[in-house]
Amino acid sequence: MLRRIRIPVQLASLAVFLYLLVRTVGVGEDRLGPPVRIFLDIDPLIGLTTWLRTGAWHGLMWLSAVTLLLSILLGRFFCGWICPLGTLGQATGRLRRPRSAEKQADRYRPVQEIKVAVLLFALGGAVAGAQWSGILDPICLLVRGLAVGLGPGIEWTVREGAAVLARTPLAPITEPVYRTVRDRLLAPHPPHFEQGVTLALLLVTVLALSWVIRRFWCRILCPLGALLGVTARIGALRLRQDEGRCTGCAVCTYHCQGAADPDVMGGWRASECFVCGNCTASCRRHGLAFSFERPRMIGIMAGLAQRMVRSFRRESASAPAASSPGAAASAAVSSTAASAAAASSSAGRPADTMAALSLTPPAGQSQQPVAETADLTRRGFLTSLALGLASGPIARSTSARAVPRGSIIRPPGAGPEGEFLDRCIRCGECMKVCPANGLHPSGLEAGAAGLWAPVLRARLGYCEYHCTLCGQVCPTGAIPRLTPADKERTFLGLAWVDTGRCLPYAFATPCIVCEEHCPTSPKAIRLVEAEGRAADGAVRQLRRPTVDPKLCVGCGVCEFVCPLSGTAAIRIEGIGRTRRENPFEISF
Amino acid sequence: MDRRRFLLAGTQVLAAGSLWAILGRTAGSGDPVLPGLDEAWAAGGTEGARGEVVGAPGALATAGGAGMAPRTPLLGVAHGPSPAAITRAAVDALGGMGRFVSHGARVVVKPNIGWDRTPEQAANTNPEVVAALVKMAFEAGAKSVLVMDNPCNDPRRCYQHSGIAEAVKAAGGTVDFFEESRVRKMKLGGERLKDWEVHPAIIEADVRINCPVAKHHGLSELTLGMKNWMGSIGGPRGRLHQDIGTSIVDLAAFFKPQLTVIDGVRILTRGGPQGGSLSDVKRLDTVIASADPVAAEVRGVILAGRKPEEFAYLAKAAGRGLGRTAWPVEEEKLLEVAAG
Repeated sequence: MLRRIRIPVQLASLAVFLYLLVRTVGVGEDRLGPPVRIFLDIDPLIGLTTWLRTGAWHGLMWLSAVTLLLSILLGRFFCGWICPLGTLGQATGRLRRPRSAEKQADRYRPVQEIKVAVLLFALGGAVAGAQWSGILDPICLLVRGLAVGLGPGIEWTVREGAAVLARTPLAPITEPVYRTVRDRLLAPHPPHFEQGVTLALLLVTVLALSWVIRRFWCRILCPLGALLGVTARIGALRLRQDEGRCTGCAVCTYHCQGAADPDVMGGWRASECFVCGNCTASCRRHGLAFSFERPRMIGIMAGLAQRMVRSFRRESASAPAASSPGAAASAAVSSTAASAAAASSSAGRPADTMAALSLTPPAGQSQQPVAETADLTRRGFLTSLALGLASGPIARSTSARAVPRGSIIRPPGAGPEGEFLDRCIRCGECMKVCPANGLHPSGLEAGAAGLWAPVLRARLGYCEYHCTLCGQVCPTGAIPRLTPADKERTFLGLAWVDTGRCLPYAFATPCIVCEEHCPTSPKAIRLVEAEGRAADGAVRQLRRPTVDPKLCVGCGVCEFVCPLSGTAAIRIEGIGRTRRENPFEISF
Repeated sequence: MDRRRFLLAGTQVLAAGSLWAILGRTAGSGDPVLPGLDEAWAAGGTEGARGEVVGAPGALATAGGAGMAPRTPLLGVAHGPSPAAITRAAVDALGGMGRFVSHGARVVVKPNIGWDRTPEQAANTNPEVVAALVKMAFEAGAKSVLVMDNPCNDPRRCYQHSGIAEAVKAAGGTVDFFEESRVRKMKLGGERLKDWEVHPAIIEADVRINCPVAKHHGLSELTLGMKNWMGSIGGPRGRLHQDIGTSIVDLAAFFKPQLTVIDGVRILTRGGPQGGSLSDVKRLDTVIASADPVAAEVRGVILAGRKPEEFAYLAKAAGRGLGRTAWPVEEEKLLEVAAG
């Protein structure tokens, strides 16, 4: 029953997601119609880390709190019912269907605790200064992988395919269809992105891992899944197992998406269950059913408070020697974190760390299913949190030095580099929507903390003067929403003429393409009459492009259209512009 | 062209010509003064390249007047408050759209939709002028009318904010975007451009109507019809600017429009070709039409208050047999079109 509702919901959710993703495109209007970033808005991992980083929620991000609250009631329903990456992973896993003879119990593996470590790493980073959730979050991964990675190839195929069909007798049918599709769903020009192949491969790899272990990403790596696992564990949803009806056939585990051990009496794992309903549907003796109980949260809260009081007493009694080896960075939080770990790991029995990392399911699963106790150990818990905390300053230390570098030009209206990176979740929505294909994922030039954050590559694209779409799709406000009037006065950088390359300067050859395209009024690039001498000594009257720094907004169209091959003779740099707060850092 | 179409076209031309002769005798003898054009006209009374008087105000009274041979004029120049009406009048002065568009013809109208600007900013062809041409082409029996350009800014924003997409669709025409995936390398056989990427839809059409806006430009000082063909090609277009005169003559020679209609409703006097500031826009409320692309270009130069001699590419175009830079005044038909 549950399954029969879940499958259409899941497909609908995927369809809506894909539709909104392809609609993340400018169609000529100033405003973007559909709520294309809604999946990012409802993502609690993004909500939580952004809140930790910036202390505020942007736009509709409060919806992520609703998701979190709902998952207290419904468990990891987001993973099983909503998450488009989960659905795609599930579909990939289904491509490889084991023959019934090969079917074996698909049981919980201790390795699934890695995702908790990933979550802790992300949270630690968010506290200490690095917004890793953008790189680790499943929705970001999917949006980025599709929009920046696979999207350009798909668009190219559609365009070229239509061009081929247009030369066949089918053209009268295909052309109108193609035009409709193109004008609503494709980018104005065939897009191309730096690192597109890398990001595509990353997504493909994540999906392909479902081949090895079903829903590999969701079970083992997903930090959002881990977060929702915590709420599920303390929440109200339970699997009621009728011991009298269970024959130990383990059919339910063949179908279990999350490897949540539905057949282990009393050992069902709420934190792994996607509420897919496969177990209840597959149990031939109807021994399984979902039910609601009093949320365990209430008991845990009470227990936690008790433990905290007790440990506080113990600490104040013993000598105040703060002995937490290897986790010096987190000394301040270690006491509370440790007690939280003790509380949240239901058993508290320390499992071997090596065992926790083994990919093979624990032995002896066929006949007598036993509850595995492989929650993240206290050591694992502290290590990942400490790594996350340490990663912040490390990532920051490089990006701080990168700020003055002129090549890093962020989208229009972005705040100072640190503030921008605090908010940016690298989802790639801005790159997808940019009509001039100017925004690309940056490499490590802005430090590790800046990986895949958008950067304007003016040789590959530019910033369309009146366009405000990137600010409209940004889920976290890293790129602010600007009115067209504000946008036209937003400084991204400054254009510099390279007189050693610029044709009228270097070769006394006429060229004004940059001036022609300069969008400000009056133009920031002016033509100054001058006499130039060519190599053969001929004197020519020339018009030479000269930049007025007070007018130049740094949109980069000049660099984009410069007709030279290779490096442009006019280039924009961030120098002289530190974005929003002080556009005239250098006084000209 | 088959015999039937030839005869049909011939009849249409004859009919249009005689209609013009009748109308010209009555309307042409009316008030020839074009008040809004005073400034431009003053500059217009210059010697043409071959010493013939071009567009001198004094000659207006005789243009199309009684006693002249009922020849189809070289140029139709219309002035008035309604862009659509003056477009129609200017083309009608040449004998009507039927002279250029035969029944069942596939027509391409090539306006300038280069920039993300509004009609008031005069960086793109006036949408009413474009729409009027589309309507007239359909009235003349066109099978299809396609409007396209290869803009410099985001094409969707350009099509939208120029008002052209909407106006053309309302007139029943087709708007399409220029796609690099559709261009084909073609032999241009020009002096400088031997071959280049051209959009086949433009070159395969039966009739090409070039429909530029007259405006200021940083390099060529003024941009009109010949440079407008830059919007029909793909590839690295910026490279053409290094010898722009030769390049645009090559393009004009390749595309050979049957009709050139220059939009002088609003012209950019500074900050072209993109403009942006309304203070740089001058209203001239004029449309020039001609089957001769060079004559139209020369007339556009005069309209903008410049001298044709300043533009070397005009003589070059004439030298290559693309058209005339000078003509007797009686070959120019001036019309004042009242509102309505």
